Amino acid sequence: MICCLLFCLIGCNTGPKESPSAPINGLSPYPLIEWWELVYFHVAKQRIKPPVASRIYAYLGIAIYQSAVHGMEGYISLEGQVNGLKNLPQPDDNLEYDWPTVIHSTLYLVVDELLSRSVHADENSFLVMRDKHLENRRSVISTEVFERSTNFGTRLSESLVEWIKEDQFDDTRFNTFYKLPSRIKHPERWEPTDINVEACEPYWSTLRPFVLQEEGACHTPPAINFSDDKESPFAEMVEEILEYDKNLTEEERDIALHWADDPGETATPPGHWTYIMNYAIKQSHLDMEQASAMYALTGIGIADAFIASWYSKYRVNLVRPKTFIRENYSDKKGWEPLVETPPFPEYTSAHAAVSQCAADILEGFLGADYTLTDSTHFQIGLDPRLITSFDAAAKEAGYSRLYGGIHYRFSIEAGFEQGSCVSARVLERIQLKNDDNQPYFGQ
Amino acid sequence: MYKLFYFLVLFVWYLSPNLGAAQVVMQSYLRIDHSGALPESINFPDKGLEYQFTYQDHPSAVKCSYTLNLSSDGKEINTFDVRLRNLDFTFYLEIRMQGPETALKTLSAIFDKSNKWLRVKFAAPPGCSAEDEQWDRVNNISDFQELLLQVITQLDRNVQLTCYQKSG
Repeated sequence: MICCLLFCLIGCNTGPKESPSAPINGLSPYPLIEWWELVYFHVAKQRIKPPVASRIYAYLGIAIYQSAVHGMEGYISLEGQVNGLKNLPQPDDNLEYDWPTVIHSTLYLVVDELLSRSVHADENSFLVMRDKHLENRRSVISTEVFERSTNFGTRLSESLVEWIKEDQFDDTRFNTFYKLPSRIKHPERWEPTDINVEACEPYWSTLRPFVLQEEGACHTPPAINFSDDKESPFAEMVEEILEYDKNLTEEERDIALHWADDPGETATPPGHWTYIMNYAIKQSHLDMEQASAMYALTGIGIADAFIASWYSKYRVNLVRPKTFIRENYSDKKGWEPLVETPPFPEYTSAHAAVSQCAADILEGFLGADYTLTDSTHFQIGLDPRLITSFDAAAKEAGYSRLYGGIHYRFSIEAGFEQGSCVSARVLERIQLKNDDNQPYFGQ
Repeated sequence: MYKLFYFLVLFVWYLSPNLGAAQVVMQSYLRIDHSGALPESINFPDKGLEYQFTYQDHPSAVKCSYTLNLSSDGKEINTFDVRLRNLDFTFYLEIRMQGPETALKTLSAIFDKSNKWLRVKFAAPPGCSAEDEQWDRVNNISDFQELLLQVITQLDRNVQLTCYQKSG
């Protein structure tokens, strides 16, 4: 009997220590979704460019994860897994924290930093959002825990902001001069398709990626070489665009407009995918813990897919279909595609890369046959579209650029490959749980 | 007096860049009917083409619906459903084209409010497009009536409207 008691006491003392803080599993993800929706609003309203938007979403996802991770049983920090992320403040294991309070305190400063260049100085919606959620928490926890949690959130956000500031984004704001390579004797080279338009983010690939390691990671040269010979494989690709342009079906037209994701009217392609992620979180009734894991990994993948695609864009520097068609078809001097040609080079299709990467990662969480209704653009008057799987949605997003007349097929397919390469690197490099298995939430 | 003149010159100089910046699409335009005519129609060279946009409904803050009636020399060609989306930076006008023997296809007109250009695109059913089809971008659209006129002008130039003519 005494032996049994002794065994029990020893066993109790050597087992995992019980945390005085309540974990976040089982909590509603809706407060987090509200933060996302606030960020979408500002990204659209301020006409933030897609690569810049992807950076914002990635840091938002990481900030949520890092402020929640100590309340997520079995999950581990991203420190040492994401480039440059280390030495973040640690909570005291012996003290009680309220993790939602930590999350809202952290997000306020991080979001403020991410959007400070875009919003007016007197913009207070982030503050209002933080205060609303903190007031809700204050009513259910002690003053001592509340203050400890807000202090920890503030310290964490300061460290995160310090890390964010080292990603060379500021350098790309100051170093905006970009001399377009001359097109004399180089008809394959890209030029903007409209007057008074500057090349969009020519130095984006110099940003610190999140998990990619080497410059030019996941880049492959075009499978088809440029040629203005009417019999060449390249000409076939151009002919395909004109064929779609002439015979576009209603379905293809709907797809082209659904995935156009124009800056200004929408939260851009990375925003579209994080909208889809939030629909899935609501539909599958995921909790705050599961949502936090999904936000971090998907945001990282999307941002790195942008960096990879942007490397290809400005290295290959391939002419857009609009320029090529106008220069090579005497009866199409004024040809216009259905979707507005964006001001950056053609190869690879970033929308295809980002969509494939996001789809691969979301599949890892929710499965290959996940179906949902995508109502992202309902507010701008577009009908919802049924998604039969994440992969099918990614393919639809990629080929929407062919239907819209702004990408060649081989660039879209290279984008899919690039996206899959990035997602594989993300899943290989980042371990969210300490049992070696990535979480799978099922449908 | 000299000072007053000086300030007047400064005031006009200050305003001049904004003089041509009047809004092309106003909410108030999207609740009323609009009509116009192409006296030199390509489809109906001797008779001209008249159009009438009739307001129907405002199903959401950004969406509204109209019908478009096309006629020539007082004789109706057809009536089509029209959907408008008035967004912050872009205005979309979509005409749902369906004839007695053609499947439904939508003509898209996209107007960039900041740069004031209009682009019209339509993949007409086989046999219904003009031989020298060319959907141009029109720059410097100055008012809403011009915007509608340009949409109809491009439709008339690029589509064989007989494909949509009601029988009888």
